[in-house]
Amino acid sequence: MPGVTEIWNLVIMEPMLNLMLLLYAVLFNNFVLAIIGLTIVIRLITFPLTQRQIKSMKSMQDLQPELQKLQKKYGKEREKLSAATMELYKEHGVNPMMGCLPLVIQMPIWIGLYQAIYQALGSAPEQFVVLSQRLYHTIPLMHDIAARSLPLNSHFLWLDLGLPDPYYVLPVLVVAVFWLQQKLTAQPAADPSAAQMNRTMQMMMPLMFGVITLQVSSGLAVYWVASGALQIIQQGMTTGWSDIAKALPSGIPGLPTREQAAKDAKGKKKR
Amino acid sequence: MRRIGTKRIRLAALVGVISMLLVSGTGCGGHTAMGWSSPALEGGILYVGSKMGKLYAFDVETRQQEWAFPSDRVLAGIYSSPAIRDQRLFFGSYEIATSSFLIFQNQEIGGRAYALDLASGQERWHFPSDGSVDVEPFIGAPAVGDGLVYFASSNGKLYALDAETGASRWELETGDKIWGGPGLRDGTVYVGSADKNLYALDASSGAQEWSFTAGGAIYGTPWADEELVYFGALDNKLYAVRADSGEEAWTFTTGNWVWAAPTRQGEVLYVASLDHFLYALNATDGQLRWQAEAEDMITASPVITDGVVYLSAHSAGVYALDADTGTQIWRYPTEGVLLVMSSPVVADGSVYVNADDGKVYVLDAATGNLRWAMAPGGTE
Repeated sequence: MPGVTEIWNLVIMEPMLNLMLLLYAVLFNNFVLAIIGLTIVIRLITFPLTQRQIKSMKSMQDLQPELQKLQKKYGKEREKLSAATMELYKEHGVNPMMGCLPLVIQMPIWIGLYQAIYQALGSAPEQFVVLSQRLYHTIPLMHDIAARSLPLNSHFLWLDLGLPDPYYVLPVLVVAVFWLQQKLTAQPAADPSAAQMNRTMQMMMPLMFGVITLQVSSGLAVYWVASGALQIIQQGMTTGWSDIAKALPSGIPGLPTREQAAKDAKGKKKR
Repeated sequence: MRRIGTKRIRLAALVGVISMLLVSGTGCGGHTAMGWSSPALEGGILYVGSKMGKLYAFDVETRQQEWAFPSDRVLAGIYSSPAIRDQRLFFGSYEIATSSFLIFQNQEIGGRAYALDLASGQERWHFPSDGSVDVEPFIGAPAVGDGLVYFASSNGKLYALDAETGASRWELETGDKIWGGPGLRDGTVYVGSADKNLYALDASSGAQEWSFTAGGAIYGTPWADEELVYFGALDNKLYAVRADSGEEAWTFTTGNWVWAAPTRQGEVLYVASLDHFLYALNATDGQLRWQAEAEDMITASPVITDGVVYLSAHSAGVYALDADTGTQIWRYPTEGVLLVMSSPVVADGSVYVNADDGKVYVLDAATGNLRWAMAPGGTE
């Protein structure tokens, strides 16, 4: 009977590894493009889930005025406030757990992807030799691609994708993208302690991933940046760009400024 | 307020634990190199590159350590098997220099070619002798010729070094890394590169005689005789090309990469593949004589002595097979796991195995029974 590791490799890591190899061959033997391509594929697969999450979060953000009313009404009666909040969510068909679910689902994908990058680049001989056991040799197309493509070119601009970014550009990008994501996905909380916890999370998570990026292969950081950027784009297309503009510290070329976004929002309300 | 503080601490701890699991559990957090060099036996002394990052010499009778190199530090890993000639031992290293500041860590990966005095383990020279040449790790074993020793580096270069001084006489730059060792025969050096080419060069001048392009990257060491040069590639094929012209004579396809150097014994060519099989082929035309399956991939060349093939098969330990039929004679260990990624050495009725657990296992060549095991530099 296969162990957990074998099942993991068979179901998560090996399909990702072989798909990445296929994308590498299709996308001009460029490993960064292969990672971005794989990110797009993963986001397409998880699209229904992330779409539900975005809509759920938007609904929760829209409930913010109602939540504030409840907070005023119940004050320090925590149990009543919680019950009323849950009732409000129920009334509007909102599931507060939807915010965490995609993150939980993405964890195995991150680990699988990291292992796939680590194996595909195989910078140490013992890693590279194990790669032979993970490839789909019995599929003629994959056999041809592997024979033609290996060893993969791990260099892109200043990066060796199997090693951390020596100039810390990717850690900064990861922190920025995660911070914006956290800001956009922040859920309103009626309870002050929960609100405090949200604020802590908004700061802690990006910094934590920034620290991790200092240690892991830059290929994984490329995935995080690409995946985060796609998430932001998806959110912008689903709920409108004004929320994103509001979350930004100042204007970004091509996007409305915070003031413009506020005006737009007021205009929409009047209408 | 106290409640919020506790929650924040718990949350921070949770995120921290998840991050650490992600970093450590996925095998990241810095580059590592294990090493897998085959031992060499000369005059009753076994020379073995240990996982502990040192090359040890010890007497196989008394099991006493003669010397260890380097004495004052450790290397990241030793993949290159030692080559011995004229009381000199040559090997290449894999070295990682780590510098860190708080959580920031920087790793410089490099390699050196070493020549040691066989009796004392004292360094005679190393290449490059200064920082002016950027050399990456040496994975394959060096080949020793007349006055020159040939080292292939991961930076894709083959270096011909003066055996006395370590000075570079000539070098060849290929299009990608070289992880196999060079093969030497009748004044010609053969080396395969991950750029898919096998190069044949004049051993004394480095002038290229010919090159042959395979269908996949070449990671193994070539094996040459008077007529043919044999080597494996990552297109799962074993190639036989003519030694004088570089024309393809025949190929044999396996189910996975042919990583290890093939070995010819008489009319039979023994080819190990990562598809877990050892193939015995007619050396002249590549016709299959027999094949034997191991329980794991075969990453190292088989050793053939007195009608017996000795081979290591990654986590499946060591096998002894009948060289004529492929029938298994014994296997060590009979059950359980012993990770071995290098070829054994067979001499005087004993099989010497450098295992990944840091120990050297000495087996009875006839029965496969364990005679003794010891960790060089450690305890029995």
